[in-house]
Amino acid sequence: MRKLFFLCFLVSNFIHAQEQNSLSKNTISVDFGSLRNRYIYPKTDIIFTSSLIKSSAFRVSARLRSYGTLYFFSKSAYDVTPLVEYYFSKTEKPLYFSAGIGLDTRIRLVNDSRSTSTSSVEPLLSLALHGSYKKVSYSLPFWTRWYSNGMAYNTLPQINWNLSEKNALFVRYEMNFLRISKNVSNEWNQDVFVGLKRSLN
Amino acid sequence: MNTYFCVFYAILSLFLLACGKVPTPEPNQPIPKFVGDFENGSISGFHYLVVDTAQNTQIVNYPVRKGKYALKNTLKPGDYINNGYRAELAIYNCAHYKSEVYYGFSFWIDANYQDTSYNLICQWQDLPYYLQGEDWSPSPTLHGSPPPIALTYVNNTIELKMNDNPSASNQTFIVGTHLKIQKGKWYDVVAHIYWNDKNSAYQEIWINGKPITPFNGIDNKYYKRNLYNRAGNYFKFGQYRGKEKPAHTNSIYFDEVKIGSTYNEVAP
Repeated sequence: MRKLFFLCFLVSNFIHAQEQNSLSKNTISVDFGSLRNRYIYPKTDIIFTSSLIKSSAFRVSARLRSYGTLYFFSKSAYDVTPLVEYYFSKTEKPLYFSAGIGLDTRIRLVNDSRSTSTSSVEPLLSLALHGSYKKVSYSLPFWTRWYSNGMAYNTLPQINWNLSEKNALFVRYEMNFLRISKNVSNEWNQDVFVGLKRSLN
Repeated sequence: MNTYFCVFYAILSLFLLACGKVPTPEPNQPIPKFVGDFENGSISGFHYLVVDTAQNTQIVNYPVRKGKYALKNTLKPGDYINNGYRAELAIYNCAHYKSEVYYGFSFWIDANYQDTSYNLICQWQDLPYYLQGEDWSPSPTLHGSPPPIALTYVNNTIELKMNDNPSASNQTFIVGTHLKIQKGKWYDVVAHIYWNDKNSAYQEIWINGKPITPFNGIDNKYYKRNLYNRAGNYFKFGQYRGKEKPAHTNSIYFDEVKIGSTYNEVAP
């Protein structure tokens, strides 16, 4: 009985997903927040995600993140993160996967002799789980970034509440693990964001 | 095939080497020794947080703790700069994550010093986490607080004050007991601090050779985290009254400001 119920659940979701396939839509989202380990520090993101590129299973996205502001224009720092992902499903399902590569570009503008930050670009590998159920869709990406002296691992679970066909509210939690290989040092940090996602077509 | 593999491997290695560093500081980075004894007749070597160096920071030949010169630090009621009433000199790059450092300086409260409210004569101020995109002036400002560690002069006493909450301005606490001091007399301060954002951090402070941090059963190290993030802190001395406008013009003399790796290296 349980198996039958689960099968019905999968089928109904598959049909539902085919009716409202967000993979075929370009989306833009804006979010803000950041609850850091010790204190709240403002950050803002604007993320564009394309639909699946014609007859392929590839999707491109770009995240522009600004630091130190809830109003996007920052005098201190930006991150630009373009990403190309291959989706192992062309339609939404209760569970499907994607894998991608990208670049994480850190642009640091602070002019302060106490600052040790520098601008740089690092490669990024993404593996993600996605799914949807009724008005809720979710994703669980894992990012790995390579640095000259270590690595960083991120998980960015996000839950979207679809308000209408075009709009969704979402909450995203980001947990980062930074590791310096030589002179071993680890650091955990976390951020929380809330935002609005809108389909463009 | 091997050639292609080698070329690919070389390109990949070059690409990874070209990457930046992990945005978290390496622990226990070396801290340059510092001597600021004013014997060259100037305040060179320090960073200034004063309205007017000619009036707030004068080099004098009396009183001096050692040598020929000392610094006369004067704070007037109108000296408001960088969001506070202050006349401070700063030393950067001296309090890194997971480093153990000794700081030393001598001070003399002027006999005519009049205010009875708090005055920070030295502090180890936190920094924005630059490596992770932070700066001094986020908009809106969502946190702002007293420094993690400060020595406060208030009504003829010295107190070691700490703060554990970077999001609150009213949660400072006194470590140990306050020390009664006299105006018109030199006092030598030595601080031994291990910087960490965990409670394995410690601070051990002596005035005139006597510890003011409480005895913990083994030594006088007071264990409490002293970094809000891993960007480290920086050292400032002089006078800082926050938003509280000084009622009078007050002076404090400083001499033998040093940073090193042993007690004897920084003690006057």
